[in-house]
Amino acid sequence: MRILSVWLKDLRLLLRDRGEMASLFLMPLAFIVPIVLAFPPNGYNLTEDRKPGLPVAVHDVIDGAVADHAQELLDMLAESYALERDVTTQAAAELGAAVEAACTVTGAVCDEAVAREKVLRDWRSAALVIPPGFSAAIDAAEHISVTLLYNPARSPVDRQLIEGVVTGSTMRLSIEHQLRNGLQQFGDLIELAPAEVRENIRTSDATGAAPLFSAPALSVVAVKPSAARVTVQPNTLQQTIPGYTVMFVYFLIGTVVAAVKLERNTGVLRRLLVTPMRRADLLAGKTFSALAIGVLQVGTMFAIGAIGFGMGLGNAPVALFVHTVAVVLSAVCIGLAAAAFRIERGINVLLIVGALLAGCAFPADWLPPVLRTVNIVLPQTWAMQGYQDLITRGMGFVDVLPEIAVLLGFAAVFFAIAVWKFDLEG
Amino acid sequence: MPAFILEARNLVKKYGDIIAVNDVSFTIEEGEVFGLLGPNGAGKSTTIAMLSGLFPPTSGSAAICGLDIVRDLAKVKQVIGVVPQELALYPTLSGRENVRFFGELYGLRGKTLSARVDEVIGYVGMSERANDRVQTYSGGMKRRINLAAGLVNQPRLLFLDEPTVGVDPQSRNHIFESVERLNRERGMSILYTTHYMEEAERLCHRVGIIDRGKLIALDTPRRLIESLGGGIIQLGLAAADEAVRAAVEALPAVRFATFVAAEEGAEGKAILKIEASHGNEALLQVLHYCNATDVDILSLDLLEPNLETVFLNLTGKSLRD
Repeated sequence: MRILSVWLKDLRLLLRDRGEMASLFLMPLAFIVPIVLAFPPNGYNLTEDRKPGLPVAVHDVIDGAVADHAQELLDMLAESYALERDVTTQAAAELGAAVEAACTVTGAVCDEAVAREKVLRDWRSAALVIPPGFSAAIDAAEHISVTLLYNPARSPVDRQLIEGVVTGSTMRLSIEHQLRNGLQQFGDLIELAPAEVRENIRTSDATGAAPLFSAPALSVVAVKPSAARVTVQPNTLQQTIPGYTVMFVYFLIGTVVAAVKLERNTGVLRRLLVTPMRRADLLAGKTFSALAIGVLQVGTMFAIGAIGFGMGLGNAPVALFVHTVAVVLSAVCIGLAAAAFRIERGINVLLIVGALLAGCAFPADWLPPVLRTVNIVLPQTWAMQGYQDLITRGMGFVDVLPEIAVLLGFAAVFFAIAVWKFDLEG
Repeated sequence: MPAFILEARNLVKKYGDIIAVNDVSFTIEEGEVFGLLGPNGAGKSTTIAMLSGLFPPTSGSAAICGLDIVRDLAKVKQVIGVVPQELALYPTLSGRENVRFFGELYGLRGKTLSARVDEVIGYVGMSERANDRVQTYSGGMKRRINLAAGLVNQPRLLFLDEPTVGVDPQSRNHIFESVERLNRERGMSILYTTHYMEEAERLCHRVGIIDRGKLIALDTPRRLIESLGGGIIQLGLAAADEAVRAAVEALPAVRFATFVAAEEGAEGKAILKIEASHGNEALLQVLHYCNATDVDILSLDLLEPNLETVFLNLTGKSLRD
């Protein structure tokens, strides 16, 4: 019951503090609204225009040279796209460890790894993989597929355009080759007697010759790369609204510190601690009041995003709520620990830097690999990852359990530190 | 029932090399108003902080209502009330909300709580403004709500730590009356700290004088004042002449004479402090002696006997130093 008393009192105090309320509720909106209005919902990926090339990996190689029909397909595609096949060790290194390993052996394997990484990390809409035996299959009029790796986070229109061009080119290649075969056979037929011609047509499969007319021997299979979790990137709404919400939820740290500082400076804290209330009860009451404010803050931002701008909230509302509770708890408990250590200055600067590293202002994938590794120590990183899994990638409760567990771990550790360190003698 | 509501034995509180409270022992009887009188930084608030369980003593022990302040802290907290020196209130809550909140922390609920809140707010004369936010109150009104919050659990022992600092005369008087009524009508025991000797003289049954963490005197205000006899005469002389001191001390109406350090701004002057058994008579004898022996008197102060003079006599400095 004492926890409830502290909870209600702190809630009342917070709601009456106009400055804090403005900082928690209006500041994120001040960022979210202009950005959302400035960029169309699916137009956040500014790098798109700067990188129009189509990465291509060619496995159809004979004696170190691209086989003839694969080269024909490349030539056709080159009319529409700048094809990228020049892989260097440096470029591979920039794309990450997975590519670097693949590129210890240069060639098609390396090309495919690079192409895949470009789709995953470098904001390409798609990459093309031409398989081994491509030319031979064309010659034999056997069915074979080229693979188009696409980035589902990119505009579906872009993907359809590329797929259309690639399909058109492969169809053209296929039909041209079939026509050549057909004409060749037709010419042969003319030299034969009608009975023999009929016999020839009847037994053409058995002799190994290609049928005169059949379905195109080439097709395009569009596939999502296996590391889909990484690839699905947010659009403007999915990036901006959760991003700035997370950034400002962690401003609760400063709110908690300020509240404790006020109590300490006015002597209220000393008074509280001479009542029968336990120290942990006091901290728990504070935690729950800030938790309520934080959940309300997130709910408000997401409601504005959903109702005002049409942002989807994913398919798992319970997971979204639980994740939000974990996010806010981590912020509040870090605030309590900071208050216990009397860290009262420079908090907001640290929070902004942390938010930038965690991908709150822009996708974390834009960061250099080193920072993408380092930022896992930040709770904001896990908060953002969870929201993007739920809102952007449509994942469910089980998928975000790791993020929730990490955030609750942050909360538990910092709460324990706060209880341990919350003294008054200093 | 224990003989004393509070028994403090050899309390010590150290912060590193600094000794804030040094071997302090005293008792408070049930229904007694006990004063701790001393200047700022003397150790009064630290003593209360230890006794109220804010932090444990470095050494020594204390019992309240027979309960050890370290071992039985949870029970001790139920029977004490603390009115801290600071205005320990939430400025954006109303006076009533503040008092109610502190009542809830003592486990009060529902109608009992509401009745208790109304009662203590009425007790300190704040019923009319109780629903206004504390930030709109005058200093004196805040002090009164501060007192009310300490009374809401009906404590058996109330700690009042300098409750009148920065208070207008009207509110100060109100606080005095509240303390007197609490003690008279409810028999509440009170530990009252102050550096105003008038308050200690008016309110306290017994007074402990504390300086630099040590309790240097403890008795009723009357006996402490009587210990001074007929008052103190301070004579400013050109030099600290031992022959003069001995001659003065030998006068019939003088009990004791000693040279003390001159106050700031009076350097170059030797101050002879004379404790008189009869004030006027001693003054006449001293003046007669100086006149007869050509001792130049540079200044002369006659201090009336009160707790301020007691403190001065014990420590050589003023309570407000």
